[in-house]
Amino acid sequence: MATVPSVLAILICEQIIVDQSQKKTLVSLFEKLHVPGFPVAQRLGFFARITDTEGDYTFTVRIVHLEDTEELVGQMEFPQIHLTDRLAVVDVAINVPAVVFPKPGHYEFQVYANDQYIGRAKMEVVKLEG
Amino acid sequence: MTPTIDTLSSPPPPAPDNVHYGCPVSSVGLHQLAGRTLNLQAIPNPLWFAPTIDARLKIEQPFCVRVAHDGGTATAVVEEINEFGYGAHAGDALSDLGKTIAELYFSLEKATDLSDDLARVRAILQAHIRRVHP
Repeated sequence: MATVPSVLAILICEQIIVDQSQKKTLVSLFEKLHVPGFPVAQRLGFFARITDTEGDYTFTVRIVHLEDTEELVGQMEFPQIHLTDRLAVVDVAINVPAVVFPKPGHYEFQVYANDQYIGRAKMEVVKLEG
Repeated sequence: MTPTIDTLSSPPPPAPDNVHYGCPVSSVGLHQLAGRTLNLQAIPNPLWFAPTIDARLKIEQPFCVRVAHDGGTATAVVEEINEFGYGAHAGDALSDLGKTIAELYFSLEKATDLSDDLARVRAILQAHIRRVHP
């Protein structure tokens, strides 16, 4: 049975660059996104650093709009991965080509490991004025 | 496409304490309907709850949590210990629940002369949670 992972960081940015040595550069970390209108499709980078992992894992990220009623607007399901070293850190990093935000407001990226809720990151999408 | 997992044997070697689980986007199931919402629950209910609730504690066995919405308030509850968390949204209620559980763990950890009920709660907490730092 897989251990419960520990989350060290969950970050949202405009882009993640991974160089040849596998070092990652997170470009333009943000909490608030200004867009011209809605709905809008936005490219963004999602990064989670996780440790204390041993076993088979399927990571899922659910994107939820938080205003009024909570609505699921997107979901990312990562391929299963087998991890053996509990002391190692694992980076779940992806550039998502287009996340569609249907409305302004706060959004939450909920992270699940094998359907277990392990953390979240929040961001806000607002309409650019003027 | 299979996920790429770079290990120590992959040239050039990554930092020894760092495994990069770099998924090409084509291997990730991305589900979204442009401009619409998915016909799914915003949060699984019940939910297996295992975030980091305190830097000194580690949840080793997830708690089963039920989330309910009433008006503008979300409530998250662990029924087996009757602990609640509240917030404007489910995520906030879960965050509050995590703080509540951590406070309860610390308050009961070394308490003496506990009632039977509180002793039961402490036993449940210690079955789920391990202290990892003093």
